[in-house]
Amino acid sequence: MSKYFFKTIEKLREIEEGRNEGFRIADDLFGLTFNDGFLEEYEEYREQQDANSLIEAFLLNTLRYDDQYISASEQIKKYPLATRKFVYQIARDDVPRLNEIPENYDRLKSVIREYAGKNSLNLNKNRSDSVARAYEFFQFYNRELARFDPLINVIRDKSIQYFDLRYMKENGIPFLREEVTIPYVYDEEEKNFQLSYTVSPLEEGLYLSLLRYIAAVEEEVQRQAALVDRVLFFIEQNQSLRQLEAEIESQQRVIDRLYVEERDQQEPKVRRLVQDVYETVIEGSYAAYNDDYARSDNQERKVELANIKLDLLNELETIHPKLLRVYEILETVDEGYMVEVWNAFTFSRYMQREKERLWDAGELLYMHYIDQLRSEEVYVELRVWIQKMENLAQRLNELREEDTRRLERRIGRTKDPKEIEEILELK
Amino acid sequence: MLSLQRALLGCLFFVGLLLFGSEVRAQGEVTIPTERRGLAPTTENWNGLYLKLRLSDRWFWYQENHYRRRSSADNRTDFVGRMSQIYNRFGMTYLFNDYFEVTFGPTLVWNYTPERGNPEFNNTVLEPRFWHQWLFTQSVGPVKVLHQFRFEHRFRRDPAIGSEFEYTDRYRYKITGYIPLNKPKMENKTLFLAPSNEVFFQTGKNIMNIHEENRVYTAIGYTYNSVMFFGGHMWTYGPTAVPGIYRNRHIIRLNVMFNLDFRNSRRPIIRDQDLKF
Repeated sequence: MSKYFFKTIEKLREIEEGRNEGFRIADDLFGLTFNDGFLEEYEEYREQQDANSLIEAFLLNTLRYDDQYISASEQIKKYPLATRKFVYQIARDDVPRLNEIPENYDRLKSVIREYAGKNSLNLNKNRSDSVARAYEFFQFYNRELARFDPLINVIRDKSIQYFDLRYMKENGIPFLREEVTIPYVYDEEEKNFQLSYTVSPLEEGLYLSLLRYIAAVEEEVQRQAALVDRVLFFIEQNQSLRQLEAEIESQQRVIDRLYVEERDQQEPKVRRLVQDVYETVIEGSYAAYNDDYARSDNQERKVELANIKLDLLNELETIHPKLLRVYEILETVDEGYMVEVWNAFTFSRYMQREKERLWDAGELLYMHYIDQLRSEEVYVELRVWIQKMENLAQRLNELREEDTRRLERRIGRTKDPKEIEEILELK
Repeated sequence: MLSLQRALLGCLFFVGLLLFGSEVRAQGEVTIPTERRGLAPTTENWNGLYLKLRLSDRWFWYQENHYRRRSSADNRTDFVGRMSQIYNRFGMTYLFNDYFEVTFGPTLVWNYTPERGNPEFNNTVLEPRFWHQWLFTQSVGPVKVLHQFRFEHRFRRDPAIGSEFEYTDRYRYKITGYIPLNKPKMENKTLFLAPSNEVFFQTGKNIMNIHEENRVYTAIGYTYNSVMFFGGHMWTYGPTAVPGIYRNRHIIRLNVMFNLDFRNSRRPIIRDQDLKF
């Protein structure tokens, strides 16, 4: 302490004699704390803090009843005495570094905080040695940065100009370490993660050295972050795949229930339709997707195929109630095209077809759609056929009440589904 | 009137004399045959158009128009040798329910002379009638059975020039069965068999035999939308004016029937259904 005390007196003397180089007395007044360049970790700083506490306690007692200095909460709000500080010249090359250092540090801190707080990393830290090591790496630097903060903050607010950097050059900056050892545990085994940094001599420039160190740490941070990203992505994909597989399995049970187990509850023609759609899609395209899935080693492709499979099964579930109604809809239209007739010669009452040619053509087209539906291998096309049926049914319903004599003459001449579609204006 | 009757009887006796000379012992003396005798069968062809037009829920217009021919005098098997009748029957039908209806109306029949060119006969004579019919139906399984009671009040006259109208009543009962062949019941596009038997009775001042005729008709038909095609063979058997002498005819009948609804209210029973999947 005394060594540095005498150095301060020496500086004052140099100023008095006009021999001072690179420093002068600052114009501003400062509080009780006098710090000529000691970092918080330095012993000198701690000793001065203790002395300052003693003086503060004395002032608090002395000025207790003077509200000019003491606040209602019994804190010193204004000191009755002031200190001055030396202000040190900053080299021209270092001026931009004063801005660069906080910027780079903030970026580094942001990445470290993000990964240190990453829940997925925490949850998966025991999946591999590298992940366990990376986890502890980020935890370590999240703590370690607390040691950087005081120096970075004085650089940030430019109060570094009141610091005599020679003290740091002589004592070193404690957190600029060439060897860093981070202990971690993997598989119940205690291990160490050894890191080596190059710390350039502070004599060559403290700011430059700090900047380089931050860059070196950032480089390692990026390396660890990339590793974490890669591993977590793989894990997430694996989880996603497992989740997808579970959903597929569950959905397969639903489809089997709807299309196989409950099939026998339907009337024969509906049962056949449901069976045909099931066989074409499940035993056709779905089986092909399954084969691709089983053969593929590519994780992303597997996820893609799993999503397709799930989508296919979901689609089958969605259209199932519509499949059950396919014939019902046709029967509804059929009934609409029947009228009750009283045959006054045979004395019988029965239903008789109206607009027979129109109905026959519509029925032919509808049955064509059903055939297409039952043989459709592309599952996303299933709903297209169903939509076509719905459109046709609605069109026939509209035409039931309209004057369709001309249309009936035209439509009666063809059995081609495409032509019927055109005549019915369904395209 | 009496003279007409005598003339008719004389005519019939003359015919009987020609055909059954063995039964005549002397002029003006008639011997009742000791056994029933049948004439050789003759043939005819009846072509009919039938209409039943529904005017309201209960009322129908009924119409029959027949073009009937019969075999030639010298060829009783040719079916169409001579003109026989133009037969027009009209009526209003009231449908009480699906099992009972009543029809009434006029009939105008033009009877053609059997001897065209004979100056003693009119070429045609008109036979107006008023008729009413009570028709009951029943279902026996898939078969529709019709019981038709028809009553005709006829004003007939002989084809001989100067003959007078004679009022007679006719009572007919016909039982018909419609047997679907290609459908479980009678409906549209049904091919069916329709056997029937109709018995005719008559009364009148000069009617000697109240049993007029029996007709056995075996028809086959097909219903197609508003049209019904109906035809077949009918055999008739009945007494002539000469006691003990019976005639029989084989008649080919071809009919087209139109069952039209003029209410213009036939609408689909089920409408505005949800046609969305």
